Amino acid sequence: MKKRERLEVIHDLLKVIQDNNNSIRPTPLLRYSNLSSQRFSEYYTELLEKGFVREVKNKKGRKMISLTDKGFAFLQQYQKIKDFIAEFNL
Amino acid sequence: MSRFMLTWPNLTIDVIYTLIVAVSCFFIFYKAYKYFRLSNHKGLRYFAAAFFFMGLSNLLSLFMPLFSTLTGIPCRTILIFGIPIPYMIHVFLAFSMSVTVFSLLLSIIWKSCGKHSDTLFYSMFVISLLMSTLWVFIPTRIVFLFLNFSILMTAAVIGSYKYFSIKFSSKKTGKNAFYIVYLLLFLFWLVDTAGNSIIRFSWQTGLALYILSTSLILTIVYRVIRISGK
Repeated sequence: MKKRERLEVIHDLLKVIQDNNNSIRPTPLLRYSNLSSQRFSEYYTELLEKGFVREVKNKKGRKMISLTDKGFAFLQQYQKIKDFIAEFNL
Repeated sequence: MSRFMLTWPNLTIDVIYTLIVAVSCFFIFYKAYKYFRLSNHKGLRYFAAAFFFMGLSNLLSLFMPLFSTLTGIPCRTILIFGIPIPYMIHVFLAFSMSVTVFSLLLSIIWKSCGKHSDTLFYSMFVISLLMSTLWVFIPTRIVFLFLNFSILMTAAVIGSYKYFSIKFSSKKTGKNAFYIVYLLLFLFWLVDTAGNSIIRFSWQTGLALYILSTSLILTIVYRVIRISGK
């Protein structure tokens, strides 16, 4: 199986959140991501630092993850970014 | 007559060419930087930097002929901190030209550099600055051209190696023709700079160079629009 590129992993993580009505708990996200917990933790920190996702508490006080505007923008532009990188061999 | 003073038809051609190339470069920079801001992809960062400095270099190279022709004042008579303006412009020009070549090269080889690509990126600025200030101490046009030609040749050797390694590898991307476009673009650019620094080309030769360079840069713009307009 081909190893996913960094950009692809980020896309997959954001897509899972979007497909779950923009609200998912960290454990199911880890399960869907197909990453080791260490790698997941690195990517998750990156997503938070970049402002792609934010942590919110639901009514039961549980930590939920949802996309920010920047996260939605990334998903919208993802294909273009991928094509741009491929076009110029970056 | 100052070396930088041009006849009006030549100046008009220079201005039109520079504006087309500079606007194209800044457009490519804008698109690449926008994608970099979203993705933090290093290749996009170096690519954006390359086109930003290419646009800047083009504007800088027009400054002296434009100033001298419009005002009738030879640039070398105007001093900043005791240094004639043409020297200063040449330092910035040499700096931005070498950063352009290095950045574009880094944008295609950064994956081979592993974690050191950012260190290389910043070192490249320092090296370019040192090389361009060397020109202040040895202010001959030959040194200026030699520096730029050395950088271009280094980039060409590494770029060609990368081109052929992709061409003959099992993982063919089918999109490696751009290395040749980059190389030709820099070559025409260098010949044009040589023409401006040492001798003035006939307007026909100059025009032919401008048309070729503009076609190459517009090819890149077209590819960018095709992707971003999807």
